[in-house]
Amino acid sequence: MTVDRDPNLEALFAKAKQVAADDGFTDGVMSRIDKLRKRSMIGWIGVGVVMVALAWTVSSPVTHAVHLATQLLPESLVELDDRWMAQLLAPVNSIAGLVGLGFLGLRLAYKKIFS
Amino acid sequence: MLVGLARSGDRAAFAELVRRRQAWIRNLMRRCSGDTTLADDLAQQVFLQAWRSISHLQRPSRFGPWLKRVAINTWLQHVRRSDPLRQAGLVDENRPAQQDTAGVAMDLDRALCALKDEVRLCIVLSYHEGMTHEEIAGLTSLPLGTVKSHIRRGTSRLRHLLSAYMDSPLAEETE
Repeated sequence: MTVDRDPNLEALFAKAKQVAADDGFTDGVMSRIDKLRKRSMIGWIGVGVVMVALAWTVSSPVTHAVHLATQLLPESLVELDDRWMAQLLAPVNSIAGLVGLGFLGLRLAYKKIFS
Repeated sequence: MLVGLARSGDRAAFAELVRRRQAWIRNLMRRCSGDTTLADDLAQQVFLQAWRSISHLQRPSRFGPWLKRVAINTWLQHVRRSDPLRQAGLVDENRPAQQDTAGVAMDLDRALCALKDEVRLCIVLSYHEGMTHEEIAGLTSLPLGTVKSHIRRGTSRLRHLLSAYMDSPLAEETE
């Protein structure tokens, strides 16, 4: 602990501590806080409105896309006559399988190139 | 308890905290800025910032030191944004020592404004806040050696600028 203060200056600093009365300071702070809270509440309401509007606007195309994807992804790439063989190979013999394998391949390539 | 209530968003509890700590923070800002209007504005910013982040305060018993840190950060941000005030006017080294508190405060603020920002901050934290060099170094992120040299240099400059007070009975009577 290091303290080496000039006693005369210390006394001057002590003498100069003059603010004591609140004189409306606290009310000023609280009024600024209230404004801040109001502004923040309006901001959150704005964000909520934008989110709802966005959801309402994009919900129909998104639903449509998801519907298409669920129909398209299980489609077989090669038609197999053997029912059991078709079921066994379904995870790879489908558009979903192709997309998954493509994704894994890309990931491997990315890792090889950049790491 | 007040701090705990304020942390949970109790407006009245926070208002009471402001009422209790306002004199301390306003005085600190006055010594830092040398301008009463700016000091009050900065002090308001300190409490606004405190209101925004009081929920992150881990230990309510550390509210005082935490508020002081908020105040110093507010002041440092202000210094970075703008040329710190020189509105307190020039120091007249031949001016006789004042007897009233307002006169002393004005002369002290003028003398402090003649110091460089970092030196002034170290001096204020040492003399006004009674902090040790180590505590100042921790709060301002300045190296300990720099803090010591700032305080040594600042003290010597203040003694020169406020020479009228150095032999005045005022200094002795307030000790």
